[in-house]
Amino acid sequence: MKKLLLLPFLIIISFGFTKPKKQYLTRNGEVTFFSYAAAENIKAENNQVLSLLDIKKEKIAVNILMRAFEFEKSLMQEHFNDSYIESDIYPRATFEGTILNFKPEEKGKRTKFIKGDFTLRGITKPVKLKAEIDYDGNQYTITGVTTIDVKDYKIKIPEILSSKIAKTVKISFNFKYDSYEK
Amino acid sequence: MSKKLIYILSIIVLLFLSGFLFFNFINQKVQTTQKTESVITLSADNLSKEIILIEDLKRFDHFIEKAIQIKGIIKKIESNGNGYTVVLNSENKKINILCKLQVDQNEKIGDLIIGDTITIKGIYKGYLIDMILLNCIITKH
Repeated sequence: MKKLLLLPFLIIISFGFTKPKKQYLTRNGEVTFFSYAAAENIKAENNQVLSLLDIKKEKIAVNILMRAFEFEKSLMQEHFNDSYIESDIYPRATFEGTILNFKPEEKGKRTKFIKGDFTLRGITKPVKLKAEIDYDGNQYTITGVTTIDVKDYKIKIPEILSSKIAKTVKISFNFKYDSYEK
Repeated sequence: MSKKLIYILSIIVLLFLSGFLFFNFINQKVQTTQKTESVITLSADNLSKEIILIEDLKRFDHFIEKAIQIKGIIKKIESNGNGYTVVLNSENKKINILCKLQVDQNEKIGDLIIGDTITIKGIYKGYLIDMILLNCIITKH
């Protein structure tokens, strides 16, 4: 009889309070950027972005291989890597941040702010971005859009093109994390 | 036909030709991997013997932007964007190679099974914690 009385409590414990694992990882995060230009908009996509989500520390780390951005046109890709980003010298961009007011156990979609440092071309700037976090009890998904100012990261745009290319770049991200055991 | 007219016509033809060539040059699509010769063939098993630390992958930096061939075991297939990424690894599961397939390879994805050994040719882009190849094509399955 005692065992029977305990059963509802055991069910509540196993279903209601399942704690998420400590770390979540994606190797196939998506980052796309978009820049308005007079002649032709510049768009590229990277599906090989690495990101680690640490539930306990409420932190997120992102590592982007700049050469893994794919463009439709080869000349754009060449200019991006050789002239603007200088991918040989600065092969990666990184972001490390803290999710503010994060409640990891909370299921469903919610909007949170992430505050951290973004490093591009060896230049680190503080950023605060809005992201949508979705937890289905198994996987976390973090999506969002932000913009960066090209002059903050000393991206050199030739004078002849500077009036034709937007001063800001729109960056979208979509990370689907799986639990990660070291 | 007067000399002047021939001169004007030649300039028009020349301008038209150079405009055409310039347009083609700036709108050139990224070359398909089928047309690119691979500079080396590697195997995930051999790589896992050579690579102890992630930093050891730096020794492959001179292959960046070149086509390389890699033989490995399919660990995972993920869909992303308008295509697929095949994750290859070695027998001892020590090293991962992420291969984003070229869009024309999408029809072959149904034939791939986790655990199969395949050879992939792609453009090496560098590494994060795994080797990353883009525009990959399946050369042997």
